[in-house]
Amino acid sequence: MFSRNGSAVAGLVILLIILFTALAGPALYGVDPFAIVSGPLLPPGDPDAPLGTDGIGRDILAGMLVGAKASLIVGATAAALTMVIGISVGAIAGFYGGRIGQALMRVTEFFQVLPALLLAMTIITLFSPTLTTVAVAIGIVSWTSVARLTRAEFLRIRNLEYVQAARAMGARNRRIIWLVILPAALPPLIVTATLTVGIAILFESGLSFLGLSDPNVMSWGVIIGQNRDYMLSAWWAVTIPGIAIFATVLSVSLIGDGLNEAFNPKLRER
Amino acid sequence: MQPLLSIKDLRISFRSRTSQFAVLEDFDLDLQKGETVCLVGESGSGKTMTGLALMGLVPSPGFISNGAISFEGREMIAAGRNRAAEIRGKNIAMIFQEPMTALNPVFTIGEQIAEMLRYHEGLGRKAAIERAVELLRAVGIPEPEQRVHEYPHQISGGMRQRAMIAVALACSPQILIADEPTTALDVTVQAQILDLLEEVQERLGTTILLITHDMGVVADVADRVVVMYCGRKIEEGPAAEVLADPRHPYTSALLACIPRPDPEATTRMKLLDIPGIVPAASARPAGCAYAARCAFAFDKCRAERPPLFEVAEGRSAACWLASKEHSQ
Repeated sequence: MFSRNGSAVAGLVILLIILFTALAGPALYGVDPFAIVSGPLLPPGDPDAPLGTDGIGRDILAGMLVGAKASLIVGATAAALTMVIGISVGAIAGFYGGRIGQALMRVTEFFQVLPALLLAMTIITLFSPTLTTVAVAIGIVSWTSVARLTRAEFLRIRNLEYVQAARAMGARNRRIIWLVILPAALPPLIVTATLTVGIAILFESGLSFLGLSDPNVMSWGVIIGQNRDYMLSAWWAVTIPGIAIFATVLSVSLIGDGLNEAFNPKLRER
Repeated sequence: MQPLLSIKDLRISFRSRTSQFAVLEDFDLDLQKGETVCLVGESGSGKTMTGLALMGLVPSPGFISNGAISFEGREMIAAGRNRAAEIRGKNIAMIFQEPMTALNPVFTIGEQIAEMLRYHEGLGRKAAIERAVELLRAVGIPEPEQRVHEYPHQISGGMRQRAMIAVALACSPQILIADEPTTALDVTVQAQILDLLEEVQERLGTTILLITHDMGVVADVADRVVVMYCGRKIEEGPAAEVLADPRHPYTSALLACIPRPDPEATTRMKLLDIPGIVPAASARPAGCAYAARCAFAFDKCRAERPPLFEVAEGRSAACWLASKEHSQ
């Protein structure tokens, strides 16, 4: 069970703390992350800025608290989009097979061979660099592996006897795809979904680092991106948001593993 | 009397790039309300294909190339998928050979029964689970209130087959197709499952089409028996008469294969078998398909295929030995 899996519970606790700070932090701390509060590059421990200041004297703690929301929202939205596109394409390709399946897999391969970062950068450059565009861009470049995984699971499950049995009981194709095969294919997909959240947060950070995120919205990636020039002289300005990203990605991965065990009836306690 | 289900002139073909051949040909069968009909034959005789055709489940690249199946006088093959899907599950249900693989491992037993009730009868979630508990009790599962929340892997093989029967019975179908329902079970459990099917039939008046290769099962439960060989019906009749006095040499041979322990015997009994193998569906001979293995075959058997001769009231056999001119 999930609750007996120590590392999964630890992951859940970390994620809850991060979610709490993202929701309540800005209100409790109340410092504008864009305001210059003190001198530039003050180390952590300064009375005006507990986690130090960045290259132009802005409070890093304020940036961390406000930026958490953007990072998490983009990560979750992009992951959701990735799963929706990937599962739909993979399910239809795997269930129907034949020409439809082949055509969908060629489309998947087309997206797979495009360099993900370049494609995402192109999409963001073509449209405005808002959080929505960033989330959509991440979704568009990362659904292919989900589609392939879903297709493989569908190919395996669609020939099992209980799928035949479901058909014998009068279920039609759409029902079989979403209510019979998909639930059986879920465990690996849930793990993938949590990993995708982590990857999406990293991707968003990477794009911000390259200056391709919305500069008017504070996010962890933006803090790292704007302070990359001071990496050697002021380690805290990039390390603190880096640790936050690491902790978030780690916590969702741990939860994913825990869910995998909890969802698999064979691993459950009797 | 109009039969509940009627199969006329059914042919199922398989198509490959280069050829097409039939795995079931000229097949007629009527099922009356409340009777148990056994379909017997070796692997590849087309008995399972017949069951799958009734459920609209003929596996690709197979397809129904000729014939008609009507349920209560309404045509099913031409009726379109939606109409057929309505009849499947609600009016005609099927139980499968392997209860382990035919139950969905990711849903509880109760959810799977409830699913049928919610889908076909529009029951609410709570009412459906309550009905599921009743159904589990009716098929003899102890502590149904607890079992309803368990997954298929948590219960034994016999219990799973009972659960499978409960799923099939959820909408009180008029016809239950059972494809070797006891083959995967222990001998002691087999008898219990057969008893359960008989009990269900008595209580609900269900028509049962039992597909089996076990003549012992036929003797036990069948009202009528249909013997199949190479995709054709070769003998049909009331079970007691066919078992006592088979008219087709293949039926006799099948009956001879049942081991009968003899307490008087001092040496070990030799197990009998039928020499030769079933010809492949793609290479059926011109004459009687059984001729090559038949001890009584003569020239006519190899040259011309015998049609079904009516040998007695409600009995028929596809053998030249059963024809009138031969018996004279």
